[in-house]
Amino acid sequence: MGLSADTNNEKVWIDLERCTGCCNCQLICSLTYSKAFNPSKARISISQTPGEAISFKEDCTECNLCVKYCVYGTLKLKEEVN
Amino acid sequence: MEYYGYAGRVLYVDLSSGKVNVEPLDMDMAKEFLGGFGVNNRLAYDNIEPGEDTLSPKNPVILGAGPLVGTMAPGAVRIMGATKFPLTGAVAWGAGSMSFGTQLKWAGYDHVVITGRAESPVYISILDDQVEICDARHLWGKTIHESADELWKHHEKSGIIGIGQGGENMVKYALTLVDRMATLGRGGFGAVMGSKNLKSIVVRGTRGIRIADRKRFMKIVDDMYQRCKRYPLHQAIVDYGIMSNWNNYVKQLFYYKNYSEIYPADKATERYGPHLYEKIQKRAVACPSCFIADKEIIKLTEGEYEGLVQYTSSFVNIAMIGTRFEINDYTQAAKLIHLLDEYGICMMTFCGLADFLISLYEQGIIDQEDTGGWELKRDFNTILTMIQKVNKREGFGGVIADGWIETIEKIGKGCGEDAPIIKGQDIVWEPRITGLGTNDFEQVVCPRGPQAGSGGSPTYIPNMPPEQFHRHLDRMGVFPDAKERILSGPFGVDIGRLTRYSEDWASVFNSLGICNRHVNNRFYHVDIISELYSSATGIEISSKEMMDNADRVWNMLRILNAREGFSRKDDIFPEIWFKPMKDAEGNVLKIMDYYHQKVLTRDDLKMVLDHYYDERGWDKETGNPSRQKLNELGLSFVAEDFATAGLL
Repeated sequence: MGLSADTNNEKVWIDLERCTGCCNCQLICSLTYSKAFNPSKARISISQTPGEAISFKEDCTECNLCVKYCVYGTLKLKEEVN
Repeated sequence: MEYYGYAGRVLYVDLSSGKVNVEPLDMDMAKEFLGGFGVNNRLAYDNIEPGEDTLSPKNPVILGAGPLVGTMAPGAVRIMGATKFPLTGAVAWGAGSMSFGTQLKWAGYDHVVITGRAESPVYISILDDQVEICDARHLWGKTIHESADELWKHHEKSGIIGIGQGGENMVKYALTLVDRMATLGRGGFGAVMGSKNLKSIVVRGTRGIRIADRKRFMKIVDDMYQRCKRYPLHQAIVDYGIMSNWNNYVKQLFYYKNYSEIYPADKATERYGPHLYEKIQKRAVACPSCFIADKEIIKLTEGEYEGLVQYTSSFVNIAMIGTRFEINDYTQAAKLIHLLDEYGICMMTFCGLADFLISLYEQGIIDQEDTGGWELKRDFNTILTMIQKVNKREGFGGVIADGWIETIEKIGKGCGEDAPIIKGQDIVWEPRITGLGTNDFEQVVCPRGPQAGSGGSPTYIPNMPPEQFHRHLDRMGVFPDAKERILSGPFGVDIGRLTRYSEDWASVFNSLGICNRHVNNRFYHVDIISELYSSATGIEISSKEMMDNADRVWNMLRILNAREGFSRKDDIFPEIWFKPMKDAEGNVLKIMDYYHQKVLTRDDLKMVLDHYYDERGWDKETGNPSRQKLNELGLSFVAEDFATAGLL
C-alpha cells in the first residue's frame, strides 16, 4: 500500500499497513487540545478496523504530537523519511 | 463534584422493568476498592444474594472500568465483569480488553449493574447520557461476529460486548467477546447474559476523561514510552504477538491425552510454529492506549477455509487445539477456533472436556452407549461435530454443555477421578511441567478456580534465578518483611506466601484497569502505578496504601465466596497432579517444587496452603478471612454479617 498523505497535514506520511488502532494519536491530541482524553474530539481520525483509514481534520495544527506517540511507525514526519 | 480519572457515575439497568437509573460513584468506596475489579467486588456484595441460582434474573451482570481506563496509561483498557458463574457457582471476575472499557469511561460511567430478565432478546445501547434497551430479536441466533457487524452499522465506533449462540443456549462455559475479538468471562459469563435475553451491550462515549494533573501524569507516560522504544523485543512482539514466546509455550502448554502426555515440541513447531506467519496474512492489533500490540487479525490464504478471517488474541490458541487433537492441518485448527469464537464458547474448557471424554473413550471407560451412539475420535471431524452439538445442546452435546461436574455425574463409572479440574473448572497451568509456581498454585486457592492470567509474579518464567527475584518483588510492591519470608521459604522460594502478592499485584492491574499480560506488565512498577493513580485522580496514594487496597479487594472476593459456602475444603489439589505425566522422550514428570529440587508430597502441598492462608492473615481451618483481618481491612460490616450468618 505504501505511504499516503492528507492535505490537512502536509508534514506527515501515513503508513496504513502499520496502524494497530491503538488510538494513542487521538488520545494525545485530545488531551492537548480539549484538556481531556477524548478521541471524539481529536483532530485526527482513525477507522474502527485498524489500517482502513487515517485522516487529519481541518483544525489540525500540524503540531505532530501524534507522530511522537506513534510507536508503530504508522505516522512519520516527511522530513525524517526524506 | 468534579471527577478526575473516574467518570463518577454508575449505571443501573433492570431488564425486567426496563428501568434505567444513574447514580454518582461513591468515592469513599472508590478510594477503598480502587475501581474496576475492586469496586465490582464491593458492588457484588450488595447486589448478589448468597445462594441465588447463577441463571436467575437476580444474578447481576456487573461491569467496571477502572480509573486509568480511557487515559494514556499504557494498556489501560480493562473491562472487568463480575457475576456468579454457572460453571463453578463462584462469584468471580472476567477480564476483557479492546474498546468497550474505554468507550464506557468516555461515555461517563465507571460501572454498569444489569439485573432482571428481558421478555424477549434485547441489547443495551449506551451513547453518553442516552441509554436504551433495544430489540435484538433480529440478532438472536446470529454469531458474535455477525451481530457485531450488524450493530456497528448503526452504532459506529462503539465498543461491543456480545454473546453467540453458546450464550443464548446457556452453555455453562459460554463467554463473551469484546469487539468480537477479546474474550471476557470464561466460566459462563455469556450464559448469564443469555439467561437475561441480553445479546449485546453497545457503548460509545464523547464526554472524555479528565486528568487532575496532566503534566505530572504525562511525565510518567513519557518515561514509559521511552522505555518501550528502547525495549529490544518490541518489534518481535508486534510482528509475532505472543507467538514470539513460542519456545516457552511449546514446552508449557501443549499437554494432551487428558494431561497425561506432552505433545512433541518438534512436531508442534513443524505444524504450528512461527514459520506459518509466512503463509497467513496478519495484522497486529492494539487495544486503545497499548504501546506493545500483541493481538492479531489473521487471514488464511490456502486450504479448504481459504479467506477465513480470525480476530484473535494469538495464533497460539490455534496451535493448542491443533496439537491437542492431533490435527495436522493448521487451517482446520483455525476453523475450529473460529467456530468456538463465533459461538462464544470458551476454547479452554471445551478443549479440556473434549480431550477428557476422548481419552475416556480411547481407554474404553466410556463407549457409544454413553455418547448416544457417537464414536469419539481424536480428529478434526469429531471436534467440529462436538462444537456444533454443544452449541446447540444437541444429544450428547447437551450433556457436555453443562460443564465438568454435570458431565461426570451423568456418565458415572467413577470417571471423575482423573478429571483435570479444580472447583469444577479445568486446569490451565501444569506444575508437573514447570514445577509449582504461583500460576499453578493460584489455581487451587483462587475462588474463581483455574484461570489463564498469571498474576505477574516472577515464577511466570520457569527457573528464574533467585537473585532476579528481589527486583521483581520490589516491582510488585511486596513488603520488605514478606520478601524475606518468601525468599527464605521452603524449596528456595515460598510459593504459598508469594501467591498472596501475585494476587494482590493482579488486583491492582484489574482494579485500575491496566492490561496484565506480561508484555505490558513488565513496564509497570508499584511506584509508577501509584503515581499514575495519584496524578490522574488527584487522590494521593502511596505504594504501601495501593497494596493495602489491593489486599482489601482480594479479601472481598474471598468474602463473596465464603458467603456462597466456599472454604478451605474447596482449595484442593486435583488428583491428576499426583499421577505421572510423560514428555515426548518418555521421561516421567511429577509435581515438583519451582526449582525442580524435590517431588512434592501431599504434606508439602498442605504446608504451601498453610503458608498461603498465613500470609493472607486468614483462618487456617476455614481458609477464610478472620474477624481480626476483616477489622484490619475496615470491613467490620462484613464481620457483623458473617457473625449473623454463622460464618465466623
